[in-house]
Amino acid sequence: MRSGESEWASRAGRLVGLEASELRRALPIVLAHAGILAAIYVLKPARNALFLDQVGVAKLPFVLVLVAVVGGLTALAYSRQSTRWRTDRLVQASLLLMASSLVGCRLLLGLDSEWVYFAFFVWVQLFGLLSTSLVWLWANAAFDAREARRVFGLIATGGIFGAILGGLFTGAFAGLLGARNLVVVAAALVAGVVFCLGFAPPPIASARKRALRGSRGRTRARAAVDFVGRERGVDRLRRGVRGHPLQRLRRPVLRGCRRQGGLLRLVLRVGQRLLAAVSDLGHALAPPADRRRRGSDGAADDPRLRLRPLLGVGGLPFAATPKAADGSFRHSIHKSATELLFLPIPERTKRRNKLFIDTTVDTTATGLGALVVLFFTEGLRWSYTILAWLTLAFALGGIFLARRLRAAYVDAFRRAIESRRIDLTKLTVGLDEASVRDLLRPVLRSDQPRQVLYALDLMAGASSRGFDDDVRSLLGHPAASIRRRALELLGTDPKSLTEPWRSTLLADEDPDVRALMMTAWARLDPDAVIERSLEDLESEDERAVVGALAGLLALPKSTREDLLDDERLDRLEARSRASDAIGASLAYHLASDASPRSLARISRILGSCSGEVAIAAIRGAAESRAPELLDWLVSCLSKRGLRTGARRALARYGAPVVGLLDAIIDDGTKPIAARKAAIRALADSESSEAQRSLLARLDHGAGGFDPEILEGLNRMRRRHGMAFPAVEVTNAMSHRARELRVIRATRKSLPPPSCDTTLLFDRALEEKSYRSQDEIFVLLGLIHDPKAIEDAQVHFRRGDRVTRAAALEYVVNVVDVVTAQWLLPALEAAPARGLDVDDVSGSLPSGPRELMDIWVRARDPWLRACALAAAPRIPASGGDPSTSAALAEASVREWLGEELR
Amino acid sequence: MRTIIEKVIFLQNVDVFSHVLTEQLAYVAAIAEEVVWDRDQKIYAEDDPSDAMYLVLEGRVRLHRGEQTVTEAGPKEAFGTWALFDDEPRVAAATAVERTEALRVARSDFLDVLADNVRVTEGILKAMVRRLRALGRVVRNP
Repeated sequence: MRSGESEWASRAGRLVGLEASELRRALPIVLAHAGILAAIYVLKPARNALFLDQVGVAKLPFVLVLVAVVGGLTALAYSRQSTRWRTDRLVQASLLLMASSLVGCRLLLGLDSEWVYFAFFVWVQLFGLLSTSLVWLWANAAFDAREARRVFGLIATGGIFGAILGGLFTGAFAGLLGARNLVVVAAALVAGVVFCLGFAPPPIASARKRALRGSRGRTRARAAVDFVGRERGVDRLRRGVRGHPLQRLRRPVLRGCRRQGGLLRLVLRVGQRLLAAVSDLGHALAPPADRRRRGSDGAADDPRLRLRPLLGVGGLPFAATPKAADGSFRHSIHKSATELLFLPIPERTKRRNKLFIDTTVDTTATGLGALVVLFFTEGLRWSYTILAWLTLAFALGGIFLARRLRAAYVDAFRRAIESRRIDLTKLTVGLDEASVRDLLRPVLRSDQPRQVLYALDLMAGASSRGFDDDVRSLLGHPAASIRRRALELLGTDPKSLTEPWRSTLLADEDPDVRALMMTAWARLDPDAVIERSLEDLESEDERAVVGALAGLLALPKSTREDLLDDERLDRLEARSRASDAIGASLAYHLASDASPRSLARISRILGSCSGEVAIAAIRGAAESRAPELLDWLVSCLSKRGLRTGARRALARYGAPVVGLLDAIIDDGTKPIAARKAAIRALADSESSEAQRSLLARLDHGAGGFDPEILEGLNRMRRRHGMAFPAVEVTNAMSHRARELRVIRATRKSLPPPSCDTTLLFDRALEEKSYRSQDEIFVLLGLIHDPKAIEDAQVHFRRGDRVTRAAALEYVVNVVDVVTAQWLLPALEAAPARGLDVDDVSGSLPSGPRELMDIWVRARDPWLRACALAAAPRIPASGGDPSTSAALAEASVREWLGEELR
Repeated sequence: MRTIIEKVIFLQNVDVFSHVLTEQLAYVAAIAEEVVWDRDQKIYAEDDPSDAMYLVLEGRVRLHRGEQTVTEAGPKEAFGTWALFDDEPRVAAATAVERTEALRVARSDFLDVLADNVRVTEGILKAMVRRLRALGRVVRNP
């Protein structure tokens, strides 16, 4: 049964581009969003109908002003209060309150008093503003940034379905139920939403709060509580903002936005609301007979409910025309205003301002629009025709401001591209938006190749082919690097590489361009490529040979083996001795091919090849992952120029090379850099075997590599999202905690350093102490929220006394009670410049001799050497100067090994 | 013949190495070779290619342009440091004032150490940034 459910979830997940677990978590929120939108689309027609029918159109501007005042203030107050509540409780309690108040509204509507309709109008407006925000608030808190990109689209789609269903329901049952009873239907929908949210994933912040609650009693300083509170509150925002690629855009863009964005939005909204007001008034001013004919129930008054029966009725064109204009114009204005939220400004700024823009600005603009209508119609007695012209003037003003804002935006975006401040891996701008394409196009015409390349790198993230024409024009660019990059981008769709570009690029002066062109062409027309490649293989021009080999490599393996017979390969091998370009191309070909015939030949080539050829072979090996090339790759780790490539290639082999890499790390005869590269390859291999190997190695075996191992584990967590066993990580932390306490005890018990050697030992201890602190934070980040831990680390290291205490409190609050008991004293005992910390307590050796014994036997080879050298100079610690110096030197030399010249 | 630890003790006094961890300085010490010059022996001439930096262990070295002395480097003082980072020719000549022992760090070896040990690079960059900031402060408040 369970597996059946999983199967279903997997299939459904694939359908919407989500993992099964994500779909299961997202579904309640999708249903909740659909329910809320359905409720809104049931309520709003009922509200409009009741108000227009019972109160009358003349008072519509007044209620709009009331909505602006009450809505703006409520939204502000609500957003302030909301930060004090746990998200899940806030959302569920608020929605329950809304559902029950809707039932109350239904009862009050029975009173048939005018103020009830005013209150109901305002309440429905508030409901519309707050309820959707609440669902999104939950969604934001329940999913991290990476999940949000996939899940939010589905949630939004749920909303659309809800809106459609709500509209259909209202259209079908309004006449039957009556407008007043639609309110009860909406209340039931909201109650259903609360039920759905009961199955939704709890917001991440809530989980942290529960963790904090258990240890609140240990809070020592008020400042710490404040820090934790702030930390908790802003954590979600900070996570979205930290390392945001467009952080640096904030100042220039926001300057523009602050100056013009808010005003623009306001102007756009006023224009929109003016038009809406004109439309509603126009509709309401339709001949009374028409309105009477729609029946006594107010629900029938809403044009959305009764549009079909009204078609062809006299007076309708008057009502329908401005309404249609309002609808279309409103949509276009809304679309433009929403574009503001797609600006490449920091996520945090967006989130902070979105609620304000959506609620306060919106309602204020509505109120202002109503006031303007009142002023011109009641004060100046202008007709609605003049008001319509005025609306157009407002719209023109909005367009003018939008153009200015756009100019500021374009300028900021261009500068960001010029200075390469946009991190491509974290780019969140929709590259497929036409407006973004318009921004990038001028950069492609820049006379700075660096900028053009950067813009091309940006375009690589676009999923549509909207850039193809612009990129194709760069195929004739004087810089080969740009031609190459443009070709790489277009190569994914070889059909776009038509004549005359094909011929031009096949004869390009740059061999890589030729090779790329041949590869792209081979996908489109293999027969033509075969013919051309066989011809080019015999060419005197080495660039033609390189291109031919690349073209053949893109063909199926069997075809390739037939074409590249031993005779041809012999000739190529002979030519490769004189030409590195041919050698590199052939080596790449053979290594990526990895057939027995190729491997036998490549071992001959690699025996005496240049760096260029070896690098090409490494790239090929990374693709084929041929076991026969492993030994050669391992030997490359000891060669400086080949190390990085070999490390990356070995990492791509994954789990099968873990044992081999372990052996390299343990091999003391290998250069330190090669052993460190093996650690890095393990970390990059993204396998659980590698993770186990690194964890087992931490604090065991030969010392000196712990920083690299920790860095590798941290990379596994950050880049590959791997989870870590808490027990092992806690053990490693406890090891470092003890180390910190021993360092503190040593520095306290030894006399002040008096000579160069003891000063060096003291400095080495201090450095070790800082390193151990850092390592504890890295380890904490492996099992807790890494971003939050990183922030705590920054506060701990750089903050003043209060901030440092607050950071410590945060750490204590995220770990369990037992861990906190030993971790806090250890971190407190760590040195901090200018801070006087408490004495270390606990069972540690107290005498200088015992403490020095710990260091002369330390796993860390450098600290051991420093301790050995310093021991004879420290009274009561013992040691013969000459013997100690010799031991220290031997220890260092053993550690440095091949590094010594 | 000095031990690695002794070399590290000297190297930590060099300005550009002030932010490099002592453990990482051991890598630099491993490539530092001891050299000895007699009195008045020319170490390098003006406009010679820059290929190494020196750290005086004992003795004194005069840095001069023609006959005009620019400065003198005594024990624990370094000269020719920038040779590690660029290949501009020497701006001054160096001559031993008396019998002098020094550590020589060759540029090519040093670049190899940087390539293999990113933390050494990190420490050097930190020192350089601090120096630049200090210069910036001087420019702003002369």
